[in-house]
Amino acid sequence: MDNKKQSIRSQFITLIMTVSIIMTIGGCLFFYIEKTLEQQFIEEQKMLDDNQNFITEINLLFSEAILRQRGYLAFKNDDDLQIGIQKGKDLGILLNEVENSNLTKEEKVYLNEVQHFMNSIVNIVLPKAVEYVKRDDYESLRKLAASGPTNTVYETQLFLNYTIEKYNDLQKQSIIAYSKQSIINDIYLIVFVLLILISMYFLTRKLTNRIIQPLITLADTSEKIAEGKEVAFLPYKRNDELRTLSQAFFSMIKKLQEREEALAAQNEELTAQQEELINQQDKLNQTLKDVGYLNYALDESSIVAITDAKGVITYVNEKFCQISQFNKDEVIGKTHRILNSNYHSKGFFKDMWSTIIKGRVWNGEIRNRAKDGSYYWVDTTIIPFLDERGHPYQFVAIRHDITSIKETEEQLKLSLDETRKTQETLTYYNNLNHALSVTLDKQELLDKILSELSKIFKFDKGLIFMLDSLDYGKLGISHEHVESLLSDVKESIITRLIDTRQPHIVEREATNGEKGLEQEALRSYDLYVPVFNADRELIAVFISTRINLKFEDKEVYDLQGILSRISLSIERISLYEETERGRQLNKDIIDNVNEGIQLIDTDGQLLQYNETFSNFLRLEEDKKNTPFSEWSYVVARNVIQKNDYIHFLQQVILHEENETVTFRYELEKENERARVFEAYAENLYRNGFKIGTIIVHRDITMEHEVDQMKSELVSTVSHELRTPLASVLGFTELMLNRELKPERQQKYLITIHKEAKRLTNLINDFLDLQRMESGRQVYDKTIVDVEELAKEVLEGFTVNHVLHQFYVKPSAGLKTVSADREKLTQVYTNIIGNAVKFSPEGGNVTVSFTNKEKEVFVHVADEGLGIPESEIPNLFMKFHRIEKTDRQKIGGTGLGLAICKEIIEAHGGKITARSQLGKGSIFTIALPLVKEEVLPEEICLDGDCEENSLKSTIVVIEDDISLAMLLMDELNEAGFHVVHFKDGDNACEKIKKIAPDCVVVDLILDDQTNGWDIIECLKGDSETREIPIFISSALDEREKGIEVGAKQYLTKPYPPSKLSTAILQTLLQEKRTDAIHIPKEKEE
Amino acid sequence: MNKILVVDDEETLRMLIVDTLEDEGYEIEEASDGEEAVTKMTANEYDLVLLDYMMPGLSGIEVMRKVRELPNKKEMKILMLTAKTQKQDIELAYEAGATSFLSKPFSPKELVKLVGDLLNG
Repeated sequence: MDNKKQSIRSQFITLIMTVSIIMTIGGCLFFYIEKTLEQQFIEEQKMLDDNQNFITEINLLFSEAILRQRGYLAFKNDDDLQIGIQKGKDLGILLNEVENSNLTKEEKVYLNEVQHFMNSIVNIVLPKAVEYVKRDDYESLRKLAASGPTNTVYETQLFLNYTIEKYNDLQKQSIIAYSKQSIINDIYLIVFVLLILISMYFLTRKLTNRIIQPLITLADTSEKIAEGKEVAFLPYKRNDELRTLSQAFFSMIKKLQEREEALAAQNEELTAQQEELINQQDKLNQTLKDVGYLNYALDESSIVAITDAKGVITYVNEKFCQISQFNKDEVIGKTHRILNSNYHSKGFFKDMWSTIIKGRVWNGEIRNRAKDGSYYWVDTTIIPFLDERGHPYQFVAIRHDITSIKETEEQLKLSLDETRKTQETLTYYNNLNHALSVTLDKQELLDKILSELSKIFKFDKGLIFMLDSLDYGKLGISHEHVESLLSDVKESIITRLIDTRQPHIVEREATNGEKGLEQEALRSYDLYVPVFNADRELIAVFISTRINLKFEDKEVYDLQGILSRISLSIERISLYEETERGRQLNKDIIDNVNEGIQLIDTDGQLLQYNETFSNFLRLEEDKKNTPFSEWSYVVARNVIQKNDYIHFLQQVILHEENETVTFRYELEKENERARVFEAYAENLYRNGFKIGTIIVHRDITMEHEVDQMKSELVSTVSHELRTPLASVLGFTELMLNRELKPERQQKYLITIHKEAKRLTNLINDFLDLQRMESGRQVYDKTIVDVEELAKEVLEGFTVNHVLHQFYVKPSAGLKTVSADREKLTQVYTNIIGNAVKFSPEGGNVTVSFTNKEKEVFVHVADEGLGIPESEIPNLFMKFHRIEKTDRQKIGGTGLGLAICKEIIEAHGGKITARSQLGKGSIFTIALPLVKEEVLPEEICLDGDCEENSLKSTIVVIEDDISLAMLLMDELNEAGFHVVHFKDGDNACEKIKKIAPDCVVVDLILDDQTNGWDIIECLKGDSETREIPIFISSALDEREKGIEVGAKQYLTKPYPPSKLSTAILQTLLQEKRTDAIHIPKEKEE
Repeated sequence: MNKILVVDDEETLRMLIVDTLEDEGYEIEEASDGEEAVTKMTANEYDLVLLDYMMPGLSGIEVMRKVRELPNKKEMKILMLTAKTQKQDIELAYEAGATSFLSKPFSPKELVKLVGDLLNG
């Protein structure tokens, strides 16, 4: 506990001490005040007394002095004078003490004057007066008196009397004040005492509340407890001994109560026990009574027999004799065996005996036999009577006749069995019906039918097979057996069933397999049942076998009924399978079309869509059968024109008119490519009502891109053409319409000329490019040395450009290519031209060469402006120009590099660019090399062709060596052996010797003979007539060529591959040479 | 005297326009690309701007958009000169704030008339 215990004692002491101290201090204070007051009063009184006495004495002296002096004056008595003077002197002495007295200032002053007066009287006036008296000059005396002394004496007497009077008053006043003060003090004392009393009262009260009251409560509580009353008491929440006391008290109460409760509980228990004892006693008495009755009743109602420990009957009652028809004498001394009906097994009795011998009661139902041989059932209870050691010394058997109950029971059991069987059958039927209605798989259905039927009809083996599909279900037979059965006896079975349309049963001896462990001969019954469809066509056959159990007619009838139901199910399944196949096919078709298709009902619910649709619109989860609000949002989430798209969907779903509505939309970029789609909607009608809408989405990204490119191109070309045209037309008009100075005319003409030239270049370039792109450009290929050509081109540049230095770095590598010299020159000119154009400050332009495998690389390097890296991929695009101010003044058509690219690619090469901005660029042309080899005039004549005998031989007659090389390269590549003649001399004879598989001939040859002659010669000879001839010529004489018997006519120029393909196809057709690989025919 | 700004990246065309209009007595300034045009149009007041459509860097359309955004340039007359003559190009030009539109190639006489009309109307 945090607070210190505040003990009652300390509280009490503190209280008493406080009160005592206050009272003591108060008393002392009062006493002191009282004493002080009294002292003051006494002092004051004394002082006043003194003063009064003093004054009185003065007065007396003064009066006597004056009186004596006057007496002398009057009576001339010298004594009087002496006394008067003496008294005057005494007064003077007394008055000397004035200063030491407590008199007031005024009084003192006055008394001093009195002293002076008296002194003057004694010392001056009196001697004078005495003299006057002595002279009896009363006249002078009267004058002297009148001069003042008389008055002064009188005043002094008045003053002295007044002062005495005053002190009297003061004394009286002082007494009154003192008594008043005393009264007040008394009042204060009374008040103080009252306060003390009041505080004593409150303190007592508080003390009572704090200490006495709890004590009283405790006392009351304990009194109550003593009286045995219920009390509610909680320990006090305080910090003193009372708390401890109350806690102790509380725990005491608790313990007391607990003990009391325990006592009460014990008491109750004791009471209950007592009651129970009384009850038991009653019961015991009753039981004893009952046992008496029971014994009697038992004897009356039950069959009672008593045996000894060995089972020998020692007692039977009347009932026993009645039911068993034996006399008592007949059974006593016997065992119960005489009643044995042979119904129960030996084990039954053995169990019974072992139970009772162990001293336990046995109960059971036994069929006994009466004396006349009839049976009766008894419910038997055998009670063993045990000796002290627990061994039975006798058995009492009490039996009741339950024969009639037993009979009823038997009957009940029979009918229950019947019911159970019916129920089982019903369950099987149910199962079967369930299988029939839910199964959609034919195989599963057939198997289920058999298993359920076998439960109902108890057959050992079963088979059901379909006539059309030969699907079957089986039970108890192997697949092999079924297969052999179906192949061997199917026809005969079917024929019979179709003819009779009725089920039939075949009875036969059971096979060994069927008999199993059974040794005796068994009969087997095979039941064949036809299964018809609704049109009474046989669709399936049901066969089942029962071993040693005949088929009843009713069973067969039932089975037929069931099978006809089954046939319906089978048909339903067949139909379902067919529909399912159709549906799957449709789904496959729809899923595999390139268009996304969705079907929406008139409420906007998404009924169906194909895979393409979900791919297009990137559906991640199944949105089938979801309402418009759900799917439309998901479908539209990637569409850029989202709101329009949803509006379109809403519109087409609500749209009633039967016209096609289309909508074009784009999807957000995925993989850097924006995809564009076109959707069109078609309404779906049934019976003239709209039932839904089909929306077909087509990916038109390609078309869109092509469109876009086309329109951009048109726009660019238009701009490129119109700009120079504007200058030409404008300046011409100015010259025509205005009077111009010659210089200006000159300037305009130059401009016109320049722009017209630009226009021409542009048109030429553009047409070139168009021709190349459309594949109509003819390349006249010859053997070209790329280094030689570079030197030639650079020579032209050197003349016109002074700012630039041009170099060709010679190379030792191979530099021969097969190319159109003119076009390759164009490429060089263009690239070197660009190098010059884009290095306006001048610098070196260097052409160098490298080799790699079968290619030669031509590098053109400059030291010009360079190309930003981001622009390099677009560099070779049409009209692409780098939009930078540093190259704004540099003109051009924007087609040069596009043309170069076309030309180089047409030569099987590649053009690339590398660059560093501000430092220069390097353009690289890669071209395939031509192997330079010595062309023999005639190769492999006569028997020299051995090693090539497996290959087809082709004779090529061509006077252009470079073309001949190209063709030979190509044909060798294609797997032919080629013989080349460069003129027509004796060609016919030579060909005859070689006997090639095919001849390629040029029509115009250098010398006398031309191609036509050779063809004529070959066709005229029976040996060479069948050799296919291919004409390769620049002449357009196709019809004539075919007329004279050529297989094909190839107009120069043509890609060499075209020739090899044509030859291959021809040879294949003629010889069906499998050894030759057949390349796919190239598209024209 | 009316002040006209001629914007075209093609020097010859600029020469043609400038010569034609100077003969008519207009005060001409030139700009050879979009950036320069924007700078000049922002800094100065012109009675008319002849603006080429296709230019490297800022195109004529972009120039107009930039200039029209400025508070005091909403009313500046701009004649769009272009070789782009497709419908959508013309629409785009008007949308971006062109006052009038002249397709290339044009006749100087026609240009003079159009410029006159624009300046007087």
